[in-house]
Amino acid sequence: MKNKIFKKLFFVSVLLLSSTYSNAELVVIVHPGNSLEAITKDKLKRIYLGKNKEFPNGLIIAALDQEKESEEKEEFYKKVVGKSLSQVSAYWSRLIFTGKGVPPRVLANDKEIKSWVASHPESIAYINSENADDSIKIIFDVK
Amino acid sequence: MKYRFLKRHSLLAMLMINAGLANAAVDISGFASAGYVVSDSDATFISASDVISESASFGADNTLGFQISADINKQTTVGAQLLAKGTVDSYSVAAQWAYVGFNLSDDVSARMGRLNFPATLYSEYQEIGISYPWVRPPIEVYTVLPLATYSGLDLFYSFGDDQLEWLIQPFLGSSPEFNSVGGRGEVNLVYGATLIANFENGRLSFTATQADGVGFLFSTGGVDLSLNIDMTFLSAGFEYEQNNIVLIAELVNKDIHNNSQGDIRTVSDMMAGYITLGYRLGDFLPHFTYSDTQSDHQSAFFPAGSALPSPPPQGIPAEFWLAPQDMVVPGNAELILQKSYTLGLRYDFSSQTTLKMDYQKIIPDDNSWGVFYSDPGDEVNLLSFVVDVVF
Repeated sequence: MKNKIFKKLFFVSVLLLSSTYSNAELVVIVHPGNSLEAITKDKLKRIYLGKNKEFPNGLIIAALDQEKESEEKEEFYKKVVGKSLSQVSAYWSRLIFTGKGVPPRVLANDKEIKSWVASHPESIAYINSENADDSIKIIFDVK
Repeated sequence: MKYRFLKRHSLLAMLMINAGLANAAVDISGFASAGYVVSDSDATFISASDVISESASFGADNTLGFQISADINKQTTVGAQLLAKGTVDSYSVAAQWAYVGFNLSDDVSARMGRLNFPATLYSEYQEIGISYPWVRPPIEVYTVLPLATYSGLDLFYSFGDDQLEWLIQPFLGSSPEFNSVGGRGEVNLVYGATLIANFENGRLSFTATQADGVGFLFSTGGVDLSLNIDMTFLSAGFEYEQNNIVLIAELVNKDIHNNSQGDIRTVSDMMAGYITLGYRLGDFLPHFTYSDTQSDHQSAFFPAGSALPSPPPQGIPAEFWLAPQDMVVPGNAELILQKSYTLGLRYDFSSQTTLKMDYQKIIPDDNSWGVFYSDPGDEVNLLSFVVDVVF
């Protein structure tokens, strides 16, 4: 009996968790000192495929990624780049293993990403909107 | 051999130490493939840089690669890739490439060192299974150019806009000594250029390669023979994906000039091509490939013990100038004439792991053994499985 209740509770909490995930909105962030106020989806796509290397002000871009199989990463690439994570991985493997490109640096979670962006003027990243604060600047809403 | 192995490793170590001294960010990544092949023929066959025999059923497509790269400063990058490959009897470990790269400007960069040939769509990442749909790239096309790497330099120049981006990559170098299918080879001078148009859903690529003074050493019936040729290699490739439809096509042409061996093995000019059509269904990609070869020339068959047609090379008495075993001349590494149909399925198990299965029906041309080392009969059915991983 107890077991059943636990099972039910577990099921409900999983539902709750997954619903918060799917409702969470991702935002693209940069260092507050970056003069960029907004960015287009196309430009973002090019940055995350390693095709655009500089901000309009000439700063070399250092893009950041969420963990490999994270929900955030999956959603970002689906909505912004239009590719599944396997397609993205196949794309980068062609560049990485010919020495032609280095993919975005991976950081563990929103907190780490936020503190990295806050201290690196050249960085760009995406996090859950609820974790955004004054330490960084939002330049794009992922929809 | 051991010495060479050490030399290669010390190069890697040197790169690592240099990178460490400069306190640069070092990136380490890797890839691996493990495969299984089953066929209704016992004949050993050639697959790009590999030779697959029955004894290599488990291991034919086995590959393990490690790569290390580091930015020394904003302008300079060093990188090296070590590759272990399953061969017929064992594994070979070699530096696939190692180079120093320079970002000369935002649009121009250069590399120096040991580099991969950009000869065809997938030749630069032929070992990275996750980057293409098949178990292995179509053998008809990927066995035409017997070179994989060279020592030299190349230059990247990119221009264009967001919609259409062009890349020109001229290259120049030589190959001191390398293992080729069925023997060893060297190239005095190789040069050429690749032009790639990258557009929203795909790319179009053209390459011209000239290799002068290509020397092959091969052993047949205990006699070492050498061959010296010049080679012109042209290729055009197209890769496209939209609305889940995947389309890939390539055409390559090889012309042989100035053959030192006269009649024998001289007639190996050939053309090869393939077309692949696939449809992406979520994580699955079923695909179909038709692959074909063409040549104005025909191979000739010499049963074991029969006299070979051309005069013997200097130093070999005429009585020894006999076919040591059943032979097709030009040899298989020179003139592979066959067509094949491949039905394949790729499944992206995760973003870093792919499972692939190909069923291939190979039909050698009349008077040719196709990619096989001995007479395979009228047709061969091949079933291949592979797991590809990147990490």
